[in-house]
Amino acid sequence: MRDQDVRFLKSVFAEYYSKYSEAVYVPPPVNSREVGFVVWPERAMVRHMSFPSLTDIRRRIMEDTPADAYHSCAVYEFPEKPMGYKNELWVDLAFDVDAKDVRPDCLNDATYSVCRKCGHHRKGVRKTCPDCSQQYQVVEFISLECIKSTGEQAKKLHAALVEEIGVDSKEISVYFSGHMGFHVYVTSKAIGELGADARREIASYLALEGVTGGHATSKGDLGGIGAKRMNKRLLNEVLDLVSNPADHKDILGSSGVGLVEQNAPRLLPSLKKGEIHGLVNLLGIAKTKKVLKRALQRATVIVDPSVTMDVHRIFRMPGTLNSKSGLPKQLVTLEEIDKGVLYSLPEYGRGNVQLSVVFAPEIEIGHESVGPFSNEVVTVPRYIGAYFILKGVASVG
Amino acid sequence: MAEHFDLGVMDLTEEYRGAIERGFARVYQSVKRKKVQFGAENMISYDVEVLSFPIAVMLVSLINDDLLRNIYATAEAKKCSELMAQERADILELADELELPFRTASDGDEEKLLAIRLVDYLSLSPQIWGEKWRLVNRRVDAGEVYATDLELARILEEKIRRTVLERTRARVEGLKLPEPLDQRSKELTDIWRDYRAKMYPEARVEPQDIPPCMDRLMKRLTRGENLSHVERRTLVSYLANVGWTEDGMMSLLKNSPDFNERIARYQLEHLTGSRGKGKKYLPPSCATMRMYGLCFPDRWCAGIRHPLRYRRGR
Repeated sequence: MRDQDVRFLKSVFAEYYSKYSEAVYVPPPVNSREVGFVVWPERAMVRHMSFPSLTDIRRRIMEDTPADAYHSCAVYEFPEKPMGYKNELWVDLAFDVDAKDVRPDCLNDATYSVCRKCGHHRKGVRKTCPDCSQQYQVVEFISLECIKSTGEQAKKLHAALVEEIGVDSKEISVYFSGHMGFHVYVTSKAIGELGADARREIASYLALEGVTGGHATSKGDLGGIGAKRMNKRLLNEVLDLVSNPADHKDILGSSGVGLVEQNAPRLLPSLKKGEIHGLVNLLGIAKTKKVLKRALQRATVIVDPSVTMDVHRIFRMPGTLNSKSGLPKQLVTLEEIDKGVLYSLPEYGRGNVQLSVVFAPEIEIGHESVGPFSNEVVTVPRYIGAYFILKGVASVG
Repeated sequence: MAEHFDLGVMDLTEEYRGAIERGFARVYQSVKRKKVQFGAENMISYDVEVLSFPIAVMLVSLINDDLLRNIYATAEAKKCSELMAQERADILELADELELPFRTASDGDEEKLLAIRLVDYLSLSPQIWGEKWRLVNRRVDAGEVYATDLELARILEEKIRRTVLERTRARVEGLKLPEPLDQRSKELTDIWRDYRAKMYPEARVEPQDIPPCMDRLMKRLTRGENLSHVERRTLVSYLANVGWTEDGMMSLLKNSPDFNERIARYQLEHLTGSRGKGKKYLPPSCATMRMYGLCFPDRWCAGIRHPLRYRRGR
């Protein structure tokens, strides 16, 4: 990255922090959390820091304007010591809902291979530019559809945590990551004492791993899953599907929709007990399997299990800017997810900047829509300029 | 120690010979028979039986070997489990005593299921015992997991094992012992040293490209933790496919707290194809490992579908 680009980025970051340093947040107890910064210009990670208070962290971030700032989910006795000497006291349960796991198809659609030398670009991941044999740069551009899908998962996760895992909703915080995913924190002390195996089990449970074999059998149940132990989320989806068969015409067919509609009042009471034989008798094994597969897809909560089980993981600090996009990680409500999280972004970097853009598709951030651009000099709002530079497809001037 | 009797270690002189001998026997039996015997003779003196437990714990703590700790804790838990009548009322009473909160499901279930707090359930990790214990195959609702009374009994056995294990971790280095106890402690140290050398030579753990799921199983086994049948079968089929010899695998399996050479040899030969129809089993795929709840991926796992394809630094 050129010096002038780094200077520009630092100025946009500094403007954000001068206005919104109060948004920077680390869950208490702040002084027992490990803090890490990624610093300009070489983007090196500095870890194992600790600060007495949130005020000190905010002050340091305003002074240093790091590219990224992180905090540990773990609460340590000695947060500043090397790993292995920190003595972990408890660890917030944290989830990463990422577009690469939730909607790889959608992410692929937003991914371009861009040749920084000649501006040639293609969708998807490619190796070298056919025009100048230069290595392509693979860029994931912001996609509202990806954010919408990950947001839906974050909401499902929130509901499952409350209704099934039994977490008080006051102990759950949902954050937009500043890129295309969401981070969900659970700050319950009882759950905080669970080890990696238990956390893995929670992630696995939310993803309904192991129910995949639970298709209808000749016995008329869901494989090994007995009636009284059928997963509640899965059961609810089966019930919803049977109550609204017209929404699933693609798997039921027209005749199947009619059959289910006619028989739903008779089927629902036994289905509520987890008994699937009525549905098997009505639709046959093959179609019932399709119904269950659809219900399973809809019931699954997709999270990255390696993040949830890693008790030493550091997470992006809420209220700080994400160097993948220049957008802030911020606390969001479930209603804001519905409305679109990019519409609730704070205002910063609203002046204009002139950039040389190699390539960018049309992108939409909040109320702003720019592009597409190809090998041209453009004038865009500074925060969008920062976005293109951080994506490696533009330079100041 | 032995708060109930208001005794210090130095009080355990000849006068308490009976309790010392019983304490010694508890550890000795757990090593030699993987089980603490309890017969009519142990019911004669309540005080001896009660006092012998902290003595046994202290003897184990003094030897300071995780493998012995696990063997002893497993044996004590098994004894309790056998003594525990399989009656619902007794099981519920024990749950109260062990401070494991539960409530009876109130929705008229035929099975009279019991609801246990999810955090308690997960802390005791029954999910590693097999598919039926996985959360996904259980009724989970509002922070509670439902179980039958016999399942609760199995969970209580694990709670006892954990409690005993924790007690054996007390730091006792440099503790001065009175004569009769010192003599038995030294004797037990010699017995354990000989027994460990003969039965549990250091397991060979190769630092090659072992995927994190298998590495975790190997580490747990070498620490003397009790792996479930599925976990053992998974690990053995993996090791057999990356070139471990049967003897090498046997020496690793000997770390199991309930190791039985005859059964282990039979299972191992079956999995490696040297018995039965000669079929050599492959370890489960990544998808199956996820289904078992045994997948603990790291960054090198991205894009692979089978643990045998795992390579670091790809």
